[in-house]
Amino acid sequence: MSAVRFVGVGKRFGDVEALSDLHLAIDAGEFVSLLGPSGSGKSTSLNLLAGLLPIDAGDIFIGDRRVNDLPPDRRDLAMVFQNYALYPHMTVFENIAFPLRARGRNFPDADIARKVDAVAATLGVTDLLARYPKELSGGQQQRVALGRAMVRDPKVFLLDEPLSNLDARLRIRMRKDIKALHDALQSTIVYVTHDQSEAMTLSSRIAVFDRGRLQQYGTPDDVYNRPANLFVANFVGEREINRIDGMLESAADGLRFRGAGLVVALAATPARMAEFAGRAVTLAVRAEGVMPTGDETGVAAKVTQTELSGPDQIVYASAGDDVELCCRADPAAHLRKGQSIRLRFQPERLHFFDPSTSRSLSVA
Amino acid sequence: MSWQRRALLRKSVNAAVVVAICIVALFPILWGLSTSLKPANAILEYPPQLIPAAPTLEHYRQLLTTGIHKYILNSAIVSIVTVFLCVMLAALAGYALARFSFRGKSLVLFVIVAVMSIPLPSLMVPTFTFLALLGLNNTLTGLVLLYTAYQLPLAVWVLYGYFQTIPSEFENAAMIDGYSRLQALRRVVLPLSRPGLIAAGLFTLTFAWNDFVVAVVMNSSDDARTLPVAIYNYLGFFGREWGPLTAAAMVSIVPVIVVFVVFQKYFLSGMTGGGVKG
Repeated sequence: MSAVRFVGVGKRFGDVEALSDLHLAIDAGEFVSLLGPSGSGKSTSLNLLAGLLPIDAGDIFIGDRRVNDLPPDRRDLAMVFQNYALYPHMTVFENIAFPLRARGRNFPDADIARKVDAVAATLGVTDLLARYPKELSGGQQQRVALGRAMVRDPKVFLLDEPLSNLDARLRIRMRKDIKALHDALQSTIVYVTHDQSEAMTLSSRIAVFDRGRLQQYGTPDDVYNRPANLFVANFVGEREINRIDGMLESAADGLRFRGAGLVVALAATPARMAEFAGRAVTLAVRAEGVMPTGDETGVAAKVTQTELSGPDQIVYASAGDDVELCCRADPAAHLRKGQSIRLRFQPERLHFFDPSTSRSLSVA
Repeated sequence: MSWQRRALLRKSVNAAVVVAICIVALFPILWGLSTSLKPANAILEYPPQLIPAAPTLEHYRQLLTTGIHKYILNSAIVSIVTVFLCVMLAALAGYALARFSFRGKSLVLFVIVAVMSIPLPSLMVPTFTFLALLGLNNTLTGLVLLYTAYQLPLAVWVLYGYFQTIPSEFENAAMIDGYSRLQALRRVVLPLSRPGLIAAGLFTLTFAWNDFVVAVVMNSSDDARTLPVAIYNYLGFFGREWGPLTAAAMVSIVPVIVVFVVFQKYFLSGMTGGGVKG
């Protein structure tokens, strides 16, 4: 298994800068997700690492080797594509065996058969070895594609949105399988996805991209609870984050946030926030940080819409100057449209961002 | 009228039109075939028999004594070698055009199409001089080179179009699996491009087998003569002997028809660009 390093990597297509100045270090055996919306540069980074696109600037290292000028077949990587790219004119067995037959790898047929059978057993596709790709279901094709990647014991696994063509239930099941595979093989995995829940559940670290730039690189906990900027706060998490523009002001019992017609008290002011008193800020808080409360000192709001989401009720409420907030409530409360409620903002779940740079103020 | 009856009526009309077209298109060939199998005295008989009562191979035997097997062999050699050479070069060119972007690519594509519009006869005189300079007139090699050159634009175009329908993920996967681009082309792309390759091959074969103008200008010797030129010579040789004439025509037509029938399922999908989903 190898570590991977991007040092100042850049790529442009004509006038468009698809990736700018990427610095990213992935440790050997780590599972790192490249997360971002379309056009954010995550797939470009993967293709640069694979050698399918030439680099315009910077260096890429696999282990200690600088691989900028190496063609894909010399980089000792394996890749699983979004639509699997299984060779239609070969059986499943031949598909999985294909990498072993490449030039320079002189495996005797018996060895090849043994390796393919072992991989097929791990993935549960032994019964499918004689079939052709078009006779397989999506999930089966996906496992064969994984098998083709695994059979060579490569230094790094690259996965390009491998689950996006599967239905929701199957996706969740495959997530478990991929995670189990990683635990078993201890391989370095670079995983591209636009689905933040996939990134959160699978990775040891997440690299969040937007418009060709790396926004934040950290553990799922870091990225979720300590977002570096508004983009990360908004993109990571089941739903969009609640945002209110306003000002921090000093009050008798500490700092207060005032904006859009409502006032939120901050508990025990953290020292570093004190310097922002009197400053314009953007307050961001996730749905689980805003809750209906019986406390009369809570922010007054009126329910505009409710959704039942499994164990929670998601409540959309209008507060202050017509600001719509999304909050989580206990379904047992049976909140109704039009009902007047009071909202409590959990102080430890509040994030503050500079309105002009979008950078986080609450993260050092 | 109910819609089922209308559908049935439409199908019957379609079938009738198809049969009519078939009769018009195939009748001359079938008539030629039947004439070539009739004994000489039965050919001009009226009313004419469509199916000969006493079929005979005497006309074919007569062709053999004038050495038609030599000309068939020449045509076959030239056609087969041309097909292989042309399709191989066109596959490489078509692949490069389909996958890579490079400066001058649109110019190359434009020129490829533009030269197809140059009428062959206008090139005959300078080509003859050039070929004579190279010492390649009166040789089968000269014909192979010329036919390849004339058919390359079309073959490149067919394969360029076909390769574009094959997702490049296959080559990417093969390259990551450890194959060079050329190997990926050979092991993955070409097997998936059979319809396109066969379509290009059939176009080339038809031209090379049937060409008269180029062959008659470039080759005057008997040894290097191809079948179409030989048949032309028979017109004078046999005068108005319909038996040997139609037999010669059949010898020329039948191989091509057989090849088309054998490959027809590939040919049709190759023409429409086929579709292989990954």
